[in-house]
Formats: sequence, C-alpha cells, structure tokens
Amino acid sequence: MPYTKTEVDIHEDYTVEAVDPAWLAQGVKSPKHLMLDPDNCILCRACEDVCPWNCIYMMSPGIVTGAAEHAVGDEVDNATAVFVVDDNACTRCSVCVDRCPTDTLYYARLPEGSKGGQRTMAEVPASQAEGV
Amino acid sequence: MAKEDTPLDQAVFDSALEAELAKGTDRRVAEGRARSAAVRAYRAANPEEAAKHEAAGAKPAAAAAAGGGGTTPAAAAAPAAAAPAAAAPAGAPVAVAAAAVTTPTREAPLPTGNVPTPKKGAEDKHRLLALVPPEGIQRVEREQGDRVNVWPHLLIEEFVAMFILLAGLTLFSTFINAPLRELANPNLTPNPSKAPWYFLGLQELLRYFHPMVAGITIPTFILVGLAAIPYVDRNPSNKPGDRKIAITMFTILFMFGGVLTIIGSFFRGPGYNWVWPWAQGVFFEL
Ligand code: SF4
Ligand code: SF4
Repeated sequence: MPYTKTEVDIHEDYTVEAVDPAWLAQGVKSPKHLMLDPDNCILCRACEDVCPWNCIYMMSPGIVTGAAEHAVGDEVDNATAVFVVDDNACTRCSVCVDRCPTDTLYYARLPEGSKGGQRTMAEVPASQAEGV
Repeated sequence: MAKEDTPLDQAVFDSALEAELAKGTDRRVAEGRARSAAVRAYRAANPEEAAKHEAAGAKPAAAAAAGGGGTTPAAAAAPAAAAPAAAAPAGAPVAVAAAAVTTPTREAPLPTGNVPTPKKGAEDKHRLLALVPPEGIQRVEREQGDRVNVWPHLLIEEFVAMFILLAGLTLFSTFINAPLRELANPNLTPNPSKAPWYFLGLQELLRYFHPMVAGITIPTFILVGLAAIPYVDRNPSNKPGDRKIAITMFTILFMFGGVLTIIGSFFRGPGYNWVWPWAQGVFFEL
C-alpha cells in the first residue's frame, strides 16, 4: 500500500465570506496560491484524486448554506460544482497543477482589493468558504 | 476509505436523512448532512472510542514513517497531538465538539512522512477556489474562449494582413520616389558614416566594446533571450501585477536600446565624436 488518503470531513454548512489576507498568510509561506479557472474545468476530479494531502475538493454546491453577498449566493445556487481548497494544508506541491488535463489549475497572487482582474476567476477567490 | 470505516449513530442518520429529504433537499446533500450529524452524535456519545479511532488511523502513518527509515520527529508528534484533540470535546458544549471533531486527520505519503498541519491558531477554513457555472464545460459545443485553431482562424488573418501590407507598399512605392544616391567616390568618404537609424544603437555599442562583442555577442544574446522568453516565463496570467520581473527587465532593455539609438543618431558628429546637436548641428539623415 503506497499511502492511505483519509477522507477529510468536509463541512456541510459553509458560509461564503471575503478572504482575510491575514488568515491566508498563516498557511504555507508562498506568495502565490492555487487558482482554478472554471471555464476550462471538465469536472474530471483528477485534481482531487492526485492531491497527496487531500486538500482540494470538488463538491456539490449543497455544501454552501450561506453567503455574505447576495450575488455570490445566487452564483452558488446556479453552480454545477464548488471547488474548495484547504490552504493550510496545501503544500504547493503542484501535483494537481501538473495533473489537470485542461490546464485549469494554476498559481497566482490573490487580488488584494477584491474587484481586481479581468478574469471571472479574479473575483471568485476573493470569497472563501468558512466552516461553522 | 475512511468513509466506510467511520462509526456512526444509525438512528440519528436515519432520522436526519428523513428530515432532510422531507425538506426537499437534494439526495446527495441530504446524505452528507445526515452522515455528518450521525458521526458527530456517535463521537459525542463515545469519546473514548473516537479517540481510539483517531489513534488507530494515525498509527499506520507513524509506522510507515519509521519503516521508511525516516524517523521524522514531526510525524511522530502528530498522532500524539491528534489523540487529545479528539478526546477534549467530550464534556464541552456541542458547537465546540463539532468543530474539534471535524479536524481532519491526514496521513503522510511515504516519501517524506511529514504530515502538513495547520499553523497554530489558524482557523479551520477552506478557500473557495471556484464556482463552476452550469454553462461551463459540460456544453461541449461551446467555443473555447481563448483558443482557436491555426487553420483557418490564424492563417486567414495572416494572409489578409499580408495582402493589405502588399497593397500598401505597392501604392506607396508608386507615388513616392526613393532614389539611390550618386555613385560613391572613394576619394571622398562621408564623415560621419552612419548606419540606418535602427542600427545606430549597435553602432553606438561599437564605441565601447570590441567589434566581436558589440556586433556578435550582444545581439546574439538579445535575440536568443527574446526567443527564450516563452520557455522561461510560463506564467499564464496576463495581469501586469503577476509579471513584475518580466516587465521590469523588458523596460530596462528597451530603454538601453532607445538611449543608445538616440545618442548614435543625434549626439555623434564627424569622426563619430560626441557633439551637442544644439551647438554643432545634427548629423543625421533618414
Ligand atoms: S498543490 Fe499539492 S497539496 Fe496543494 S492542492 Fe495541489 S496537490 Fe494538493
Ligand atoms: S483536474 Fe482540472 S479539469 Fe479535472 S476536475 Fe480538477 S481542475 Fe477540473
């Protein structure tokens, strides 16, 4: 048996709030964080499968029960899937980035003032899910 | 998978599942919520067994780390820390118990044996990576936004550009005369003798370096460097904030070229010596 992956208890009652940069800085020291461009994702779940630390998940939007902003809440309601990463455990090993068949995952700095970039993605990671 | 191994309170599971389904919740979500409620109920009722479960789960990781030859203190310490964490919530109020029980157990892959543990005091939060909209990928017929085929999309554009350029050049050369100079006179060489303006930066370099360096090494370095950029800089982001080094380097290089060209064009006079264009005049022609 090469290694065991233990299923991590994903919460079922997340609420979405804005990312607190101080909280993010507590994770593995890296100025860049994992990003996902939902336009290209084919929902193959390969990233979930390869992550040695079990810290990236594709989940049903049902795990989110609330959002600080209305617009985000509506987006959650319409979404097909929700991707969540545990930044505290992610070691930036890039296994998932390499594995993704559609180059959907990449690293970038989080935009500091939320409404930053041109990508849809640039705004989305300005939100995070908080387990209650 | 630990999912099947986790002991849960079957009664709580059934009742929670029924309640969720009655509310009209999606079955997958309902099962998840019911399972989490049941596991939490079971662990709250059997704190010692929950602790044992945590310890048992952690043991193989420690054994594996030792067996792999890497007796990493961090890996050994992790299970010890996990057990009290699981046992602690026994008498605590429900909310706290739920939070502590959800602390993930992570086992290390063999090669390192180092279990990543969250920083002390960091809240148990997960970052929302992305919401995949329904009009995302599944609609296979959807055109991929930023990727097109070379043929026909790119090549047609290139052919159109080529014909426009050709037509423009033809018109230009029909109406505008660009005569050659008179025959060269070997007894009367022009002074200063300057290259076309776009080579004056290079000619300026010749003032400072050996011709081999100025004429071959530096231009080769620049051309190869430019060609290598896409292989060195693999950053897919197109936001300026993500490529500060690249932009800075290019700006510096560009300014060097610009300054050298301007000096060569306007500040060099007879004998290719320094002149001030406002004092001795401009020795420059297109
Ligand atoms: S970078 Fe490595 S640790 Fe982080 S989510 Fe990807 S596979 Fe997991
Ligand atoms: S590996 Fe890439 S395409 Fe597959 S689910 Fe993960 S992000 Fe999406």
